[in-house]
Amino acid sequence: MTGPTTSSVPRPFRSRTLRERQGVAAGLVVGVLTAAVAWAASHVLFEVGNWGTDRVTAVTMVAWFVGFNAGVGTWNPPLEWLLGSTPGPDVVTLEVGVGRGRYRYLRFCTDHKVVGMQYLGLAVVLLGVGGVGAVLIRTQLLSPHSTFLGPTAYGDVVTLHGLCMVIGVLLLLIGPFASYVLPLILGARTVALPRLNAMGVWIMASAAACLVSTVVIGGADVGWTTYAPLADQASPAMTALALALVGLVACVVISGINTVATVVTLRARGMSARRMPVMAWGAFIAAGLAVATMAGLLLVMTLVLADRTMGTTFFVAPQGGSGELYEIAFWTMGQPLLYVLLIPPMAAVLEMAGSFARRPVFNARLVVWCFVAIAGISLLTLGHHLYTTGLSPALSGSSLVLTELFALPVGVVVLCVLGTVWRGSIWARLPLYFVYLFLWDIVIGGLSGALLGIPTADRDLHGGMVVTAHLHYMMVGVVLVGAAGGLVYWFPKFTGRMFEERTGRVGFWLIAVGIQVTFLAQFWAGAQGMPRRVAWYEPAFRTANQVSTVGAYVLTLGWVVLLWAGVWSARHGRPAPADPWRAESLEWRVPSPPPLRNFPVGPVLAPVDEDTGVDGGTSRLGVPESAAAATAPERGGPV
Amino acid sequence: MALLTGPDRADLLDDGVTPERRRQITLLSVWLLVAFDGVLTALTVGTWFYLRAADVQGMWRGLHCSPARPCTTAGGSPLPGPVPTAGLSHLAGVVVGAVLLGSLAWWSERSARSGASAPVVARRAAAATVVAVGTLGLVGVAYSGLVFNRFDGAYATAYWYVLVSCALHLGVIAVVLAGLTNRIRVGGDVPDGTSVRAVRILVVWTSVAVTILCLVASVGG
Amino acid sequence: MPSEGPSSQEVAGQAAPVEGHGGSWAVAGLCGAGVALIGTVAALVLPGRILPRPASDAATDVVHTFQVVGVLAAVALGIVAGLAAASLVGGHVRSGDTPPPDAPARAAARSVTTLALVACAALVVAVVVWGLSVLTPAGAAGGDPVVVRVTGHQWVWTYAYPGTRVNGTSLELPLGRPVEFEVTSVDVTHGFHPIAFGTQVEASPGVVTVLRVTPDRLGPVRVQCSQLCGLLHAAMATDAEVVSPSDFAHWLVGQGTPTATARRIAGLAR
Repeated sequence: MTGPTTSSVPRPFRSRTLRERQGVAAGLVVGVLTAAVAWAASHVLFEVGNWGTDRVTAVTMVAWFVGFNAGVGTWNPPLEWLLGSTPGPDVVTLEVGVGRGRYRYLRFCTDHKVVGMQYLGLAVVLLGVGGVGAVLIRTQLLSPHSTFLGPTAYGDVVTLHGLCMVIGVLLLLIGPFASYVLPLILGARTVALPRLNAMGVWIMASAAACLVSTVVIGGADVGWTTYAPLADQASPAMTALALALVGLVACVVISGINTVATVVTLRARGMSARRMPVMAWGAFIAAGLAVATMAGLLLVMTLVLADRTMGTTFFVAPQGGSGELYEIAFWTMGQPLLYVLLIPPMAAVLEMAGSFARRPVFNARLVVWCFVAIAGISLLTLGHHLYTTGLSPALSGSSLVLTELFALPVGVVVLCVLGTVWRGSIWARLPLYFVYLFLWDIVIGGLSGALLGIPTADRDLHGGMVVTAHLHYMMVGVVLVGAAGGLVYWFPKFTGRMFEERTGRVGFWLIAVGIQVTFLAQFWAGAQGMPRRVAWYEPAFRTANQVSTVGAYVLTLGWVVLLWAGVWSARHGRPAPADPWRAESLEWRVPSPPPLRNFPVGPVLAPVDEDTGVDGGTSRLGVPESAAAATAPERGGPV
Repeated sequence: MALLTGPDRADLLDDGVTPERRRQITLLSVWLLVAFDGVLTALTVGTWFYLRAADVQGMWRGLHCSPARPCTTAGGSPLPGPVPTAGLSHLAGVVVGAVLLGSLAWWSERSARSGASAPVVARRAAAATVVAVGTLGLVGVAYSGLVFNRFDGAYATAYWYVLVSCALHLGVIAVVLAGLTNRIRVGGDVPDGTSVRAVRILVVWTSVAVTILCLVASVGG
Repeated sequence: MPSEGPSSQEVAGQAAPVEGHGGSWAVAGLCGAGVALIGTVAALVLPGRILPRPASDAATDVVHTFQVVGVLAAVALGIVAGLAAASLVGGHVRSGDTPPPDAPARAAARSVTTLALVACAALVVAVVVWGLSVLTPAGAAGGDPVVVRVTGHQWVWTYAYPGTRVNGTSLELPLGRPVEFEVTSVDVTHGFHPIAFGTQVEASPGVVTVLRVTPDRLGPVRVQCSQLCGLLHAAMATDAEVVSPSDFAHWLVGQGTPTATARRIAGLAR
């Protein structure tokens, strides 16, 4: 990488250094070329032997992963470390995106705000693919024996829908919340590991490409949980899928380590643990839980890959393998993952409740302890996924107790949200709408979870639509609704413009009604006895399915309207001041959108003279307007 | 409560992270990575013992297989008898190598902390690199000396997986150690000692993990 | 230390914080009671109508579990909906660009915190107590069950009755006799789910899992695969039949079983 030093103004293409040429375009070119070469070479090497097609697929995907990331520049930091060089100021300038304009979003960029938006873009793509899958699934289920999709295609769509949605929501939390907003809330001028943060998003991008490519290379009808031994049997697309999930693990662990390190080391001076806002606590606890538990997914995926490409017998019963091994190992990751997804939206809802009821979060310290309890209990409750495996009554009984324990911290958090808005000074702006929908949905979703936690009920309902209805109430009605509310809330900070709320409200009501209709109808179908993941069903379930499909179309329309409102507002919305919500956490003390280093100087919080009277209050810091003017001038609007 | 301005320079590219903070961040991140791999290792150990206890269709080691009634394997050729447990000498060699590796890494860091010069620390890191590569070689010897195939039942499959896991751990750490040696030799990484310490943490963890995996793999049963 | 600037309210020209006027307990109570009432009625009435007619004790337990959890959910929803609705009604609810005045920070009174914890703990205890009370201990089926060996294949169920030569795709069971299904699979994991019996067990290759149930209603019972098992998962179903013991013995005999064996399995006296 010798040659002219990098400049802060993009040079004509011919005279750019190698480093300047790295980016998405280079990544695509190098990635596709490497994959093509690897594919050709592995065809020669492997095609004739056992497991040939899977080996070809695996080698091709790994080559894509290595090549794409080489083109983007993901491997620059580790290579520089190994070669003993330290990036000079020109490299730092280039990497942080100075002078690159919009193109820094298509490059390896160490600005945590850019990475947050890159994750958001990836998330929207994956949620869009998943959403198309949902529409296809519900259209198939309009009639009991539809020929809209064949059974293979249906199974592939079900799998892709589930994975894209789970991963999409996860990225939604990792990007805008943990990467973009969190450092601002903490009063930090950067994240702890900016280069690693950037590596994470590009690793995920290449893994997401791998995931979506399974549509083209055959699809795997294994469900999002990809249980083995079915996963051993599926088409070579399963190998690509497993590798994509390995990439996901790398991304989540990288991001989790970065988040934990940022919270521990880069808080503003004076921000003790007591004064840290609830949103920061939620991100911190979720990130720690993710780092602790993602190993389970890495383990099962390597076992599946070993079975598929090397002929090992982890899940092949005639040679001593066990499908139950997969289930247990998967759910050691899977159950905590659900709470990694739940805790940040809960925290965001609490922040919004505080801002729009004009008071601090009710009993914030208790809320944080509830988050810790949720994370801790989640490590012990994988048993409720295993009730139908012939679990002994002792294990079933203890899983029952542990699972139902969730109702305590989750219920207390819900009551604290209510305690925040009760007799508050309600400011009915769009984010608050999402708070109230969250409250309604979490009771239904949570109590249906309590139902499924009872072994007697689960032994009837496992594998049926009641499970599907419960998980969608939680994932869509609680997690996605809370996250969407958070995105609308911090939208002015991200874009410098106000979200157009009239259209947003239309989208909101479509979503609110759509959720209830779609998933209550699925409870109905499930109670009647309809299994899940089926392309056809008995005629008795027809009405419930038709109602659910209509609801799903309404719900999809709602998300589209909300998304469109967001895109329109980002371009044409009213310019937003630094603090449109007159809120009190530190992210509202910087312009919208924030400059490169967020705060011109690291903010320092003065010691607390007197108790605000709120027990353990952490969210409201009481920043006077005059001190806020000490930050860099903001764009448009009153302070 | 008031928001005060801090003493840091308002330089555009100055991200305000002091060297002390940078050190704290590096070490915390390395420990978190170790925690992640710790869980992965624990799950691998759990997999071993689960398959051994489950002994699905008697095919952990195929104790019921006999020349008269051979068992089928995924590789095609039938199994005429129980799968023999792998010899312990190879595993013992790997454990010795791992312990030596961990000790060398610790010694390197201690000498860096007590003020040894960069070339001295680099030499010790290089020695650790050689031991890592050597131990990796011992894993390769163990692999080539296997008397069973990886598809001859669950024991054979799990043993193969443990060897591959050890090899990956050792391979990664050898690259990291080579990189550290290079960094010290080229640029004088030692004064702050953070890199040496971070690598030491990773190397010692690798030694522990490899030792645990080898001990587990010696439990045939 | 620099002096404090004007508070945010004073700069904006608004009055000092006031308590919102919303939050009437009457509204909360009324709305909450309404939601809870509707929910309770639904929870008591609907499960019996929507769930398949129970054909065993386990299925009856499931109906009751739906009712119990449903009532608890109705109460919880009533509390949450009531408080949420009351927070929005009759008070300082403003939309528009300027926020309403701040509400004063409310110290979390110990009594409120305790009440919240107690309420949620009560919910947990109620569900756990119910769940444990309907948890069937192992070996509950009693002596001398009818043993059926169930094997899942992609994508069909086969049933074998040990002691007879019956081994096919039809399942018949005698009324009132305990049945012990010994379930396994030859390929991937399936789910053996006789829906009207209200219980199921996984069919795992290389492992035999046991399901014990006592049919207590005559008639058809649909057996559906409940674990995704590949291409024709949706089509992997059987229409089983619960018949009287003598009809069951008759059926066994028709499949080539000696009469004495058939009568013994069916639990009929010699």
